[in-house]
Amino acid sequence: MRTFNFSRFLSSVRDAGLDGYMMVVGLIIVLVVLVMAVFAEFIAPYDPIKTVGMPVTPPSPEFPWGTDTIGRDVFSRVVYGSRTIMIVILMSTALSMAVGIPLGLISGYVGGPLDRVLSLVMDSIYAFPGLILAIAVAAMLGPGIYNTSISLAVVYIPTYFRMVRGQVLSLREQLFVEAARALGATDWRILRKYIFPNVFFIIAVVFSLNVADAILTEAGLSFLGLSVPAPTPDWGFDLKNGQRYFLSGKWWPVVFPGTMIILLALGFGLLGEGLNRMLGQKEVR
Amino acid sequence: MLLKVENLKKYFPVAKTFIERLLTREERYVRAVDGVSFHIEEGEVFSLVGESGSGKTTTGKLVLRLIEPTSGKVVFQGKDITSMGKKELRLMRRHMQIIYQDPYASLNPRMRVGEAIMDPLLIHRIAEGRDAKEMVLEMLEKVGLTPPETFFNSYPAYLSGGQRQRVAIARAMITRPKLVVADEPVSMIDVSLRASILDLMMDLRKEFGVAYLFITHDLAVAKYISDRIAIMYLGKIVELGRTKDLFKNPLHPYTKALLSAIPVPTPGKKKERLRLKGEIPSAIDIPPGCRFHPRCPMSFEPCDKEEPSLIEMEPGHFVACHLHR
Amino acid sequence: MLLEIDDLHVYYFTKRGVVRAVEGVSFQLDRAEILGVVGESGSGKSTLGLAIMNLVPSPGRIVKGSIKLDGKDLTKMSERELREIRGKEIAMVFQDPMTSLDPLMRIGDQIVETILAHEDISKEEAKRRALELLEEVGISKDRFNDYPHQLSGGMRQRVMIAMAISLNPKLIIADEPTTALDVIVQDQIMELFSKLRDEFGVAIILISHDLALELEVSDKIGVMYAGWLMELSRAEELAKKPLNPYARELLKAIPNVELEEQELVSIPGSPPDLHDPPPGCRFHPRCPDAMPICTKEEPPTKSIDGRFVKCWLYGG
Repeated sequence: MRTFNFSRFLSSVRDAGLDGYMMVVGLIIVLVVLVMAVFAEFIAPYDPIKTVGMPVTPPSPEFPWGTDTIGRDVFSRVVYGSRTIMIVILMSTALSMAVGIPLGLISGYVGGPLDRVLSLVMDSIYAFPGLILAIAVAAMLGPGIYNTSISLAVVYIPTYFRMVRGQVLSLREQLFVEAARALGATDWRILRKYIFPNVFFIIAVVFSLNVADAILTEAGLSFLGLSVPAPTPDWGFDLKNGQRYFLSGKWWPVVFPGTMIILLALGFGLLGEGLNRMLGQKEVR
Repeated sequence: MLLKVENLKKYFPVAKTFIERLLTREERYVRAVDGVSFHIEEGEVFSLVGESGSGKTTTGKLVLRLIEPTSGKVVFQGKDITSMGKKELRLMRRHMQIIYQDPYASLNPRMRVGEAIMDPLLIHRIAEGRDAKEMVLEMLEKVGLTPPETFFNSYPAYLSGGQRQRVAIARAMITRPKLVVADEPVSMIDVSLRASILDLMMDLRKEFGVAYLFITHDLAVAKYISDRIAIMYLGKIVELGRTKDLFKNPLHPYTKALLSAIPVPTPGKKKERLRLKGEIPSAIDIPPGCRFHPRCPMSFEPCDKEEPSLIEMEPGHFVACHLHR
Repeated sequence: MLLEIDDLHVYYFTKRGVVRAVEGVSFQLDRAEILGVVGESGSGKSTLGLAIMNLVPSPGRIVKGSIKLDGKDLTKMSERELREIRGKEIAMVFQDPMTSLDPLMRIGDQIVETILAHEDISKEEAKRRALELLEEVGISKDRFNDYPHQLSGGMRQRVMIAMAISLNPKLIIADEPTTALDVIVQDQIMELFSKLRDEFGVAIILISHDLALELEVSDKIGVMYAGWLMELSRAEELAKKPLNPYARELLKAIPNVELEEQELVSIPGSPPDLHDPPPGCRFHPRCPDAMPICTKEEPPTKSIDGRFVKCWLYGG
């Protein structure tokens, strides 16, 4: 595995200009939310599931982001909500990758009927609009943090499968892969040492963009009440609850969770896109 | 005899268009290698010379069974490679290696030089850990990549074409194979550096006793290093012999044409050209009889009907041409 | 004098720094003359060819020097004026005809299009000319309606040459025109170039890494290394007695089929990184005749019996 050289990283960010800054901005956003999630106990002033004030009170020194429909502190709920979403997202992504990547590697390398069948299955799943599919699976499985992760994972397995498979198909024909075969390497070794390391970068790039999409899908699920059950702090859920107060001018139950959803999705998006362009530059050279 | 190739053939089916698939049943083939036979002795440099489309590269890959032959036999160190099981074949690879033409594409970009050269040692359980590293460093010295530790840790992207080719050579030689197929190893290297790579290959041959199947389109290079040369045209060997004999007494019209067309760096050029008509036909529609006859300035009666076979004209010097019976 | 290049400098302004791809190159070319420009990777020979047509891709550009065609300085012309000249007075033939030919257009039509783009004649007239040209370059007329993929590499290159000569240019710049072709076809194409020179008075700049080829075909040869013109001599003079050490070593590195025994020579080291060339003479780290002054100062170009050589061995 390559060792990570921080100063080299910094200089390549600077070289990449706008793309590099894009990536850094995204990275910062993601890190902030991550910190929020990990250190929620220290950041949030109140217990997110306890009623601590009058319902729907506007932002004040006591409650910096106001209170929600049941009198819980919006700020604390948002902070703890970051933990919820991060767990769901990271679990589901890990699951998607754990299933999609190996299948993509094997299917692409081995080819033949196995590949045809798997591609057919994956393409069919891929053809479904993400949210609809997530709803279908979530409805079947029921609420809960693990079930939600599974629902999301199912939606994104084909993404990793297709991307990895595509890379493997083109790598398979490369001269250095034939050279490895000529050395006497087994197929397994070729996959492990010659093909996978060349797929690795692609995965890193798609990962971020994928997560951005997953965040919005999760928010959709929780908006519909199909994600984690109340009273677990959850941005999408809070968004839905706060909705009915929005038109009467009580914006804070909606705006804060909503903004966080967009911000986090944006963060991952910028990170992924910036990384994509930075790496794209390198490959071109 | 280290290697014996018998009547090797490789036909590639030509993809049919939809209409063709409906209308005809017959299959068309690219007859890339159409009945090639030769042998290589231990420690010998045997060159396969031909233009692109002659089938020389395909032959090289067939010899190592990197492609499956359509028919024919390859016998290496007394064992029949062509009918060997996959596992046994894989283990045989330790003794027969390849160096490719393109030094930029033949190395894994994500593998350091040291790792790449070490891999064959690990694959064939020849050594591991520190012993393996020692062997790799020694090899790096031998191929002229010094200081070896620096090159050991470098990625191929930081090396020049000539250096990468040396890495490829190190990787091929580390298991001390008995046969190395070298497919145009210097054609993508700068002219001023070619001699050093060729000399390196010859030094290693002296030291390790390895034989080369050297594939090239450049007769001048072949002359410089080969013990014996075979000239290929459109999938078949048309002339084969010891280097000295071939150049002193070229028999086949194609050989003569090649020799006369090669640019020679001497002033007052304008040597006698043996002019050929037309161009190399595609390997799908091979001319009947002697496949060279449409371009041959000396073709006569039997040439368009009967395919000539390789006949020994003087000891070790074979030619397939009706002019020589 | 048809073409006069004087003190040409072409640099690429990359993110990593300035690449001095062509520095201080001067030479002259007359009508009906073939100049062979020979060099290895990084020599700047291709950049030189592109510079003459002002086609150097960004981030490169001509920084200094003049390129005079029949007295008119091309470096001072507008893009519009240059477009008139390209194709009509100077034509270029590249290495890979497959990427230069339109795969979806019949070859005959492509020649016709080229003619019509520059000359105000009727389509029938253009077609007639195209057929003549095909014959000139040795392609049978009934291939007029073929598509590029139906032709072999050698024939495609001949189509390129037909297109190049279709407007009767004064100068053809051919950049590695036969590298991808077999030796026999290469020979035929070189014959064609000689014919163009002898019968049509065309001047040709033949850019290649194959010195042996250049020696056979060219009248004059310019040897380039790391952006410099190391020597410019008549072909016979260069082959018999090369002046510049690089040229001399290069000659020794070429395998010669006609020699019984040969000691092939290799030049140790490799061409320099043009972002950061060595001080003094760019060849000095690899030169067997390097002297102390070579490591400090750039050698001047000296004229000896009509030959030009850039080397400290010939005085300051």
